[in-house]
Parts: sequence; C-alpha cells; structure tokens
Amino acid sequence: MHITLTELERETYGKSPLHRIDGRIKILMAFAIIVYAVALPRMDSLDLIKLGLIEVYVIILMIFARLGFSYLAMRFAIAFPFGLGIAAFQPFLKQPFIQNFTILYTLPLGLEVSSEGALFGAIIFAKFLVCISAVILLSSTIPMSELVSSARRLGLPKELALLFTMMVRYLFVFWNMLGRIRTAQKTRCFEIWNKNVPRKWTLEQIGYTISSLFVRSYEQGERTYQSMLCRGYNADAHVYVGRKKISAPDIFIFTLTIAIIAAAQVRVV
Amino acid sequence: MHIPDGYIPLEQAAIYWIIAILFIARSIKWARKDLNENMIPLFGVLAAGMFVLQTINIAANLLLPVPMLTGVSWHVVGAALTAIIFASPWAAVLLITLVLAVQSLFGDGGITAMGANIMNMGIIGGFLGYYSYIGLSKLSIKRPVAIFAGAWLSMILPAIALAFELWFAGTFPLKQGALLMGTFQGVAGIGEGLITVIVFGAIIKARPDIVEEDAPKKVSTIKVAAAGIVALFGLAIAAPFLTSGNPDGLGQTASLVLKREINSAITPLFSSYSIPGMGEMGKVAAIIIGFAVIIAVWFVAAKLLKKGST
Amino acid sequence: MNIIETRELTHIYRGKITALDGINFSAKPGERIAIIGANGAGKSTLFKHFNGILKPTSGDVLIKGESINNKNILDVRRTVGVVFQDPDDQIFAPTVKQDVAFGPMNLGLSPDEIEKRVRESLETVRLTGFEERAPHHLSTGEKKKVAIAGILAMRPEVLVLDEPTAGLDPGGAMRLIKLINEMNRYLGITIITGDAKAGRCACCCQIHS
Repeated sequence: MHITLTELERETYGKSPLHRIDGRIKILMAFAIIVYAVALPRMDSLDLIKLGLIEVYVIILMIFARLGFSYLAMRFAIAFPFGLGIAAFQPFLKQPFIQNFTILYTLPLGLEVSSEGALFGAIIFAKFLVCISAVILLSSTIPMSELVSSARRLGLPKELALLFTMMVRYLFVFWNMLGRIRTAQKTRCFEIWNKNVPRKWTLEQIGYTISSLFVRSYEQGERTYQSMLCRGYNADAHVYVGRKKISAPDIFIFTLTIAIIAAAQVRVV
Repeated sequence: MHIPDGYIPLEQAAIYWIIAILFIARSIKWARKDLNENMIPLFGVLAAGMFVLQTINIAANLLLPVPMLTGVSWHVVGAALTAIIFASPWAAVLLITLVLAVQSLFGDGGITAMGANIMNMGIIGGFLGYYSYIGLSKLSIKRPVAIFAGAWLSMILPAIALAFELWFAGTFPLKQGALLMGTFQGVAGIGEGLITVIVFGAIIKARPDIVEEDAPKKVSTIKVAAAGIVALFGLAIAAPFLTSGNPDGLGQTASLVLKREINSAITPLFSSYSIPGMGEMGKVAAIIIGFAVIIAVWFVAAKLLKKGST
Repeated sequence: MNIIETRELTHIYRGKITALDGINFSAKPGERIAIIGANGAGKSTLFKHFNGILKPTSGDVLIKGESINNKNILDVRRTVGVVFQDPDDQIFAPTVKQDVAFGPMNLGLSPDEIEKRVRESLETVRLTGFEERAPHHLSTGEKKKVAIAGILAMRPEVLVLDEPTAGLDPGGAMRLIKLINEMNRYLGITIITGDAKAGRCACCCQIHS
C-alpha cells in the first residue's frame, strides 16, 4: 500500500454534500453497485454498456464529492496491477466455458488472440473497475470510525464492531509509530537496498522492526484493555453508537442509485 | 495476492463467504473463551498493528540477488506467525480477517471476493501453517525449521487454493495459474519463513509470556493427524488436476461424477436454484460444493475433536 | 566554519501548516546549544532538517557549508546524529549490542571496528555490561542511554537530542545532563538539545529562540 492512511483520512473529512450523506446509505449504495457489477453474466457484450453507465454515475458522484484528482489517480493506480494483470491475459486464454473462439491474430509462440477472450477480459476488467470505483468513493467520503458505527447500525455483530472500533482507533497511532521508527532508522543510515551489508543482516533488522511493532501494539492492547476493565468493561458491553435519522437527501441519493442500476439493467437490452 | 471484485462469479464468492463466516464466528468465540478473559479489545488493537506492519516493505533482492529485482519489494502476511505465537489458528483467522477488511477499503482485495481471501490467507494459511509447525515439532524437528516450514506452507498453499478458485471461476487456467502464483508465493514464502523465524525469536526475547512455547506438546496428536488427513485429502483431490495434461477435461469428468452423487443426495435442496446458465455453472458449482463439504467436514471434525479434548 | 547552518529555512506541512518560518540558525564545532520553545513550536521539525529527514519547503540547510543533496545524504547523517524523543522508536533490536551496532553496520564498517565502537559507546553512556540485555526490560533512563549510544557509535560530529530528559525522574535527568556535558567536553562534539531543562542545567550555553 503506497497511499498513506493520513491521505485517505484527509479526504474523508471533506465537506461536500456527499460527505454529509448518512454512512449506512453510502455503505448500501456501494454494496448495491458492487453486487450488481459482479452478478452480471460473464459473457455478454451488453455488460460493457451497463457497467459503463454505472461507472459514469460513480465518477459523477466522485466529482460531486470534490475528491482531488491526483488523490483519485493514485488510488486507482495502486489498485490496478493485480486486477489488470489477470484481465490482460484473457485474450490469449481459452476460457473453458466458451465453445467457439474467433481467432483475431496469431502471434509467434503459438499465442492466439480471440475476440471472445478479449471480450471476457474487457468484461472482468470493467467489473473490477466499477467495484474499485465504488470502494474508492465509499472509503473517501466516510471516515473509518463512522464506517464502523454505520456498519454496526446495519447489523454488524457487536464483537466485530468492537474489534473494528479498536482497530480503527489505533491504526493511526501505529501508523505514526512506524513512521517514527523509520525516521530513527534513516537517521542511522538504514536502507533496505544497501549493498554494503550482508543480506541476512538486513533481513534480520526488518524482522526486528516487525517484532518490535508487534510487541508494542500487543502491549498497547494490554494497556487499553486494562483501562477498559477499570471503566467497567465486560463481555456484554456494547459499543456506543450515536443515533442519526435518515434525511431526505439520504433517501434521494439512495433511490437515485437504485434507479440507475435498474435503468442499466432494464433499458440496456 | 488479494482477489479483486469481479474475478469470481457471485455465487462462488458467496460460498467462500459462507465458509469464511463460519470460521470468523468460531474465531471470535475463541478470543472470548479460550483465553479465559474477553480479549476482544486487545485483538482489535493488535489488528491495527498487524495492518501497519504489513506496510513494511522488504526488498526482493534480499532473497534473490538479481539486479533486475531492484525496486521490487514484498511484505509479510503473518498468518502462521500469529497462529504460532498465540498457539491457535483461530488467532490467524481473526487477525487476517480484520486486516483484509481494512485493506479492501484501500482497494487491496475485493468486497465480494473477501470471503475467498479470508479463506485462503486466514483459514488455509493459518490452519495448515500452524498444524504443519506443530506436526513437525512433534517429530522433534528443530523449532526454527518447523516455523520456517509452517510459514512457507502458509504462503504456498493459499496460492494453490487461489489458482483453483480462479480456475473454478473460469478466469485463469489451472496449471498456469498454479505455476505462476505458486512460484511467486513460493519465493515470497521463503521470505515469510525467514522473517517469521526472526520475529518469533525476537518476540520470545521481549515478551516470553505472550508466546505459548510448549504448544507443540499440548496439542493432541489426534488433532494434528486430523489436520494432516484433511491436508492430504485436499492434496489428493488437487493433485490429479495439477498433473493432468488436460485439467479442464478432467474437471468435467470429475464434476460429472460429483454432480451425479450430489444430485442424487441433495436434488431437493437445489431444485429452486435456477440461475440462467446453470447448465454451464453446474459443473463448477458441483466442485465447489464438494470443496465446501470437505471443509465443512473438517470444521465439524475439528469441533468434535475440540469437545473431546476438553 | 559553521557545522550546521540554516538560511531562511521554512517548512510548511501539506501546504497548510507552517511549522518553521524563515529560521536562520548556525552552530560551530564544540558548541552547546539549547533550543527552547513550547510543545508544537517546531523544534522536532527543525531537527529533522538537520540530517535531511525533512526537506525544506524553502530556504537552505548547510552541513559543513554544503547543502544537503542525494549524494552527501549518508555523510550528512553520519555527521549529524539525531536522538529522537521516544527511545522505543529508535531501539528495535532484541539486544542492546545489536541495536548499538545497527548504525555502524549500515556504514559498512569492519566487524572489528563495529565491535570497538559498540564497546566505546556503551562505555561513554556507562552501560558496559548491558550488551546482551533485551532493551525491552530496561528503564526509560537506560533506554535513552542506549539510544544515545546507538548514535554515538556512528561517531557524529554533532549530536542533536530532542527532549532528552522527557519522561525521566529528576535524578535521572540530572545524570543524563551530566553525561551530555561530558560528551561535549571530552568528545568535542557539538550538542544541540531541544529541552529547556537540559539547556538550563547545562549552564553557560548559547540560547536560540
């Protein structure tokens, strides 16, 4: 992961109308888009139009949410490699569920490019793109702590909600801790690509860094847990979630999203 | 090696999710009961640390001194590590689940595919990595070697499982996938193994009290044997596909047999399952159901064994 | 010649928060300097410029008259040793010895030389005999000393200590300050601290604000 937690956090505290939409609505919207995209049949050229329509909608929402362009570019760039890799292979593969292949080109080494393979590749990439866009939109317009409390109100079991609450609370603490550890190591000239030292030694230092981070987070956990016990924490304790009513804009944006999905499905035939 | 959304059909992703949820539920129970106290907050905090330590880059050159690899780096996963430290594969399932959930917000791994990712890295990686370590320790193999082997397996086996999942999904041919991802994770696994040994050693020095060192002695041989049998069973099923010249053809035959068996047994259950294009999906579904049944059996077996041992 | 000099050094975080605004600072070899200011005044930000961890938004940092660039960065970090506030951030190896050897290893020194430097550094901070101890079980004061030894082992010409007495009891703080003064006297290195207490107790030091 090359985008820092801090950068992500900064975007989530934006002031756009989309940032003000209830967290539950945003989760459900993202979920609806993702499930719809994944559920589309795997070989149907109309998929591309449907997915294109949804993608345009998500991008409009991103503009609406005033997300920074360079921020978005970076988020897409880091999500792409594995997804793009698998999709790029598809034109050369013979997918087991396709009966007839139309060969477009024959390359050296017996590689054949088929139009069906290319179509399938394009479809899975489009699905991937729509899903990743929905995730980026969701994660950029809702602070992580609110994401957890909204998920709790949507029925996330209370143990999981507590786990995530604690995790999100300390994510930044450890993120900054690692930053300080790295600074201290840089001060003493540590560099993972340094060729003057034995490779085994460098590997050991990385191992020690990991273990010190592990032990320090474990101990932070112990201290936090003890202080929670001091304040009466027990197994039946609940995470406090504030109440918030669904407002008219919330209903509007949710209905709009469902309508767009429905329109994509029904109108594009 | 996180599967993104869109690469696994929804119905298959759902099956992986169901398996994952069963294991997650059990792992939460473990965090609450097995440690005598409600340790849930502690694991939440530790999960944050795990997430952050997965962002520590390790230069690929450290393993393979190839100039071409300058700039390439990888990071640890830590499934085997947490399972070994807390002497329970459930710790790995719980922590990996939390980490994967937050990673998916960064676009690292999908939402629908998260079930499969949890299954691969948390469940397969955690359980098989842990029981390999225990098994090898019982055979009085030196601890660093046992830890290395456990951590290495916790990387390579998920890669093989991933190759199978993408094959079921029709997204990537099995043999090439297994070769590609197996090689990648096999090499990364060496790093994971070495780092796990180093980290384990360092943690035991700093906080010997949190590491359950005598776990290999405590875990019953029956449990290790059961894990071994499940692993071998999985391997026995996987091997013919991996070695066959025509895995797709073999898949078809196998699925036909499986389908006949399953159809006769649970036709009523699936009579309402009429997604368009089920004919083509059926064969894939059959294999997955088979896979799910195996894991369910494993799950039940583990549960029974657990009851027996306490 | 000034060993450290900054000219109109300005640092703005994320294009928003101005932490340093036109700082002109200079330090000569052998000086003892205290930089004092309230929490969040920008002391740590300034220190991070001294060895190139942070790059100036505008202005310049000169080490021995040369501005910091990618070519001399390793030399700069060897010349200017920075000890940060929380020793736990710096000490990560499982034994004291391994941790103190970390810097010299990165400089690519010979095993004998590393051994010698570790011994001498631990002697200087009076931690001889602590070589095989796990840093985890040391007291805060001992950890601070290990952190200082880790920097001393790189033979810096300037030692920058960020809040060295934070978290220490009065006795421990006094002993540490004595040690800091000794290092200045016997090793002839420039000492810069970001700590009012250390600055005052160190006496007759030049105060920049």
